[in-house]
Amino acid sequence: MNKPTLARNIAQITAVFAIMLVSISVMGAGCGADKAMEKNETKVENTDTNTTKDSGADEDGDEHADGEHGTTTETHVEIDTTKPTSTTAPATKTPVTAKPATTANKYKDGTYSATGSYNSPAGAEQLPVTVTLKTDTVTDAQVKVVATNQKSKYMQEQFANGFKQYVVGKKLSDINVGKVSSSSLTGMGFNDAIAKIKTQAAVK
Amino acid sequence: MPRASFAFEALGTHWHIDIEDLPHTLGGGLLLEKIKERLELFEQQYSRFRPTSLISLLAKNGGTAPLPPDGKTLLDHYIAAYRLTDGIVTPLIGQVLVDAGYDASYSLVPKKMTPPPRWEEVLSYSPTTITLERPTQLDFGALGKGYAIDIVDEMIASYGISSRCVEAGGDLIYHSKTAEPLRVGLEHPEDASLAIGVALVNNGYSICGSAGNRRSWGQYHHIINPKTLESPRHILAVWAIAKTTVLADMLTSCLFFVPPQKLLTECAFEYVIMYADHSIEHSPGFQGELFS
Repeated sequence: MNKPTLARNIAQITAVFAIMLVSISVMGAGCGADKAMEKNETKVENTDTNTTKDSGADEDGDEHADGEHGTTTETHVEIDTTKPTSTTAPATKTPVTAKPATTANKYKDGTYSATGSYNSPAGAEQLPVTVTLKTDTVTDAQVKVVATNQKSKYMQEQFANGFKQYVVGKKLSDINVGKVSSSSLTGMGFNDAIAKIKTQAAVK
Repeated sequence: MPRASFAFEALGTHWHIDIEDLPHTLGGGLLLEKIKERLELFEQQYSRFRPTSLISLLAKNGGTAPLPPDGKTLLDHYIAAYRLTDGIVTPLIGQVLVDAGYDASYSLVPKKMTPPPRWEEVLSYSPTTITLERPTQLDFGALGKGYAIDIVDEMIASYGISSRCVEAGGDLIYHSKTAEPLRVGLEHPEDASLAIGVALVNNGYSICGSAGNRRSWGQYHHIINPKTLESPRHILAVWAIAKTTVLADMLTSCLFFVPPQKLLTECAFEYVIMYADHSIEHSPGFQGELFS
């Protein structure tokens, strides 16, 4: 996977969002930070009998309009970081503690904006997009409905309301399922090894 | 018709089989024995954790060996995955996993890793033979478990059993005489007590799930990109629903590395992807519910 420059990353996100108004699938834009996810193994087995309960079709607020093409150009990029920059040098010579390498970001934390352009049957349209990055992950994204043409405005609103689908999670004990699908529960050997390593690696 | 449930360990994970219509003439105990024998045979041939397996002998010596009758389907799926991911999903990943620490003794200590050879350089097979030009460590983890689930499922069906669910480590295939769909919770990769949604799996379909949370150590988990020698971090979990478990398992491996649209050009399946920012993407035909 290529590592795009930040400006191109925003342009890509804007382009994707603009095309979203006339197409279906949403692609998350997260870049996960390097983080070892060590979890205790829990045995998840649910032997309840199958239910015929109708869980309901998944909500999908996307619109698909044939014949509308999106062209996008990035018109401007505002960079608005949340961290204030320090302009004074330290007065005394104190040793600088380096940030651990594993937590160094590829992209600076902050909020970034750009406006994408596209064409609708009503003419040229704009869509301002703002994303917030924290430890290389998109933690928030907003789009602004600015279209004035009635149909274009409707399409932008539909998109603004539906483009993000973020996971919340419900307790397995609260929902009725016949089975649970997950990553493979590991056998004893692997878990033993993890336990040994944790003991060895623990700061004494 | 009596029901039976089996729970046991094999292929390094927990298996759970539910049978709704066990024939009166077939003892549940006998069926369980046959299933375990079949899986033992599978491991004896394809497990890199068995020193005398076909895989281990080829890793030591290379050369040409007889390929068991179930080997062709396994390798056919691998060659499709290899092509669709431009070589990222590959059975030649074995040495990378071993060097990352996922070795036979689970040392979990990374050593120097090098990209594996290309398929064309070292591996060839026919319906009855497999050839390695030089000693090379193969690993079939990307779709081997799914294939084993299908093998067991077909064995159960051959006894005249039509309603059954064969599940191993979160992957399963489901058949029901009544044709009602199975509700399958999609486990949150960061919290096993939560589900991110529920998938409806229809009669005759498989669902496989893959995530980086369990088999994880240091900076790696059990899925490693042979070109970057890193574990993918932009995706937390994927699920695929397809007509066979070997295909669904293969697709979950591929989905970590290529967009679903690429795989849809050749395979029919539904999917759910959870990205690192907790956003989720699903195929248009996905049936079920996602909690958001």
